[in-house]
Amino acid sequence: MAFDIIINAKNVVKTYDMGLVQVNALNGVDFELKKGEFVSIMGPSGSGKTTLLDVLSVLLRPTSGEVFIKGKPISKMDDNELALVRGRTIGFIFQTFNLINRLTAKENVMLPLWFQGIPKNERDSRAEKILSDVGLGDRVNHKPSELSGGQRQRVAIARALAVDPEIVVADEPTGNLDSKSGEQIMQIIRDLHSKQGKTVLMVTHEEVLAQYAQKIIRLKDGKIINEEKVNKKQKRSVY
Amino acid sequence: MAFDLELFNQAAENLKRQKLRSLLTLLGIIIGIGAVVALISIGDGFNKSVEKEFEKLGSNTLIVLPGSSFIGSAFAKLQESDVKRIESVKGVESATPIYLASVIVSFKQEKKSVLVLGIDPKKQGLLEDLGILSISQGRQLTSSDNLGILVGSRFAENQFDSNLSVRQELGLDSKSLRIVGIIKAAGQAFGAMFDNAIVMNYKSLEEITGQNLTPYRIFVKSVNKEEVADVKERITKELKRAHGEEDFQILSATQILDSALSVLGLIQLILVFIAAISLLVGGIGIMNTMLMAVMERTEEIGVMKAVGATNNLILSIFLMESGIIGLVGGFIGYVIGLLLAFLAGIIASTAGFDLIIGFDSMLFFGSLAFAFIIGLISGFIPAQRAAKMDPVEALRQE
Ligand SMILES: Nc1ncnc2c1ncn2[C@@H]1O[C@H](COP(=O)(O)OP(=O)(O)OP(=O)(O)O)[C@@H](O)[C@H]1O
Ligand SMILES: [Mg+2]
Repeated sequence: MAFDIIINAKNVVKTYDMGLVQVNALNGVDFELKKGEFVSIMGPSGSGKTTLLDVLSVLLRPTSGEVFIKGKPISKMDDNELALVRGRTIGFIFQTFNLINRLTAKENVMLPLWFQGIPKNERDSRAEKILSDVGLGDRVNHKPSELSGGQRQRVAIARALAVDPEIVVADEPTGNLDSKSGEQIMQIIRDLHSKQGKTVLMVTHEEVLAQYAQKIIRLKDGKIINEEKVNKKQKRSVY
Repeated sequence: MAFDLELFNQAAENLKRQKLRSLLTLLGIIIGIGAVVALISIGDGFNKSVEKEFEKLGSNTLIVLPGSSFIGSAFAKLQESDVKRIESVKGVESATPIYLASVIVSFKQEKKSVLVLGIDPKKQGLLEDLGILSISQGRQLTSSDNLGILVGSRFAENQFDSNLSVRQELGLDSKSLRIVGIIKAAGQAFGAMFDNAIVMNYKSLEEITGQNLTPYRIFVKSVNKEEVADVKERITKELKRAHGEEDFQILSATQILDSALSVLGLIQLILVFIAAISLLVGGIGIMNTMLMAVMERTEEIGVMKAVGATNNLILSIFLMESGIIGLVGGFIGYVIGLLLAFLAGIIASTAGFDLIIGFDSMLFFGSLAFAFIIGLISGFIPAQRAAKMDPVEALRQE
């Protein structure tokens, strides 16, 4: 099936022009993300993990090379089309949660649904359902400032899941959490893959967490230096 | 883009969350729209009042006054014989002079210098037709009233410590003037002259003052409206021949109306210009607030874009917010402006001029639309900045 590969990057280069010097955040990356896969991205700080994630989730256009989303080259789409495709296909989970502080948990979750043109009452009920799915049924009207870090990240996950996207993209989702909340979040992310069949792309610094994936990609200086399958034995040892 | 209620609600929510700043931003628009609304309402009220007044005066009226633009009225005089001369002109129905003098009268302990208008009692009907000499109490003057007088309504109320009423007497040297009637408040320009004065037989006025008075004004009524312009022409010719020069002016009601309105129009124009400047300042205020909002909400914009908001939607959200700021400012401004106009109306009416102020739906919706558009225009640059923001950069900001 043509759409077995949901996202495909070909020789992607991302260069930041810093005046005197040019920083190559990505230096010729080829990558395929298959439907239903769970992939971890690892690498030292500054190696380009976040940049790769942004490019793959069509939030950032590469300086050269091409990214295809479901076979369509993004260089042929304008920013508005890209936003709609992104909103429909990809759910984001950020390290710093990036909730809108003025809005309640429910309003945050309703936001992507609004952008997809879903009517208000449906947005309302869907947001409430998803929030209770992540264990926040009693916190729907709380502002982010009234929630713990783990709860905030669960709101962010609920927001990512609101439009029922095929892909969930997470950039160090547990990076700002204590180990207990981090475990809970990882459990949710694992379930997304194993129970709901979502395609998951996750950046992490922790080897243990990376092992939850089926495949680990290692970056260095903007290049993929290693791509390995996680075998079941290793995986089991994590539990 | 069609009007999106959803967008409107979201934008309104955003604004409600930052009440104080939004309110401060509104100030410029409120002042601007308030000023425009007050000015237009007062101006319209003035127009209506003036028109109504001249309707009363009648469009078949001409007023002759001494002096032209070249010869001051201090040097030029109308003659009593001019009245007969004017009445002999074809198309004139009748003409009556008004004389003006000032005398010192006393009432109880008080002594005051007051204006006295001398009229021809036989021609009172003409003045009454013009709506400037109607009696509210007592009776009209008759030819036999040598020392009988009428007093204006405001004169009766304000001139002396106690109010004057019919049958009371005012002292004048050794004589006494007996009030036979009180003139109804006219509430219009020529009437105002009668409101504040004593009116008596002009023959008696000449006797009392010992002066040979000349007409201060001659009111002329033409047989029909259509002929007014021709009649004016003929009177001009006739008086010019008699005086040897054009040392007088003839005004028609429409002419007075036009000049009053054109002066008003000019004043309005200047004031509207001032209001436009405050609206400009208001617009810049909105732009400033929106630029700040866009900066503060950089992260939010990044998030919204990440989760699927198009550039167009971001643009619309911010445009809608600035539009609503304009709209709310316009509404408050309208209300304040109308209140000011009503206030002006009340003040004017205590001064004897009745200003007709009212709700005008055109002005209402016009101001709202105008304020909304100012909001949109001022918000455009900030909204565009928000729309064009790079989501990744925006998300990196903390
Ligand atoms: N907007 C930018 N302007 C300039 N340089 C940038 C920009 N964004 C990223 N970079 C550079 O690109 C390189 C890769 O950055 P990236 O954020 O992708 O690293 P990372 O692997 O996610 O690091 P970390 O683990 O610390 O999050 C870095 O050297 C960074 O300084
Ligand atoms: Mg990173």
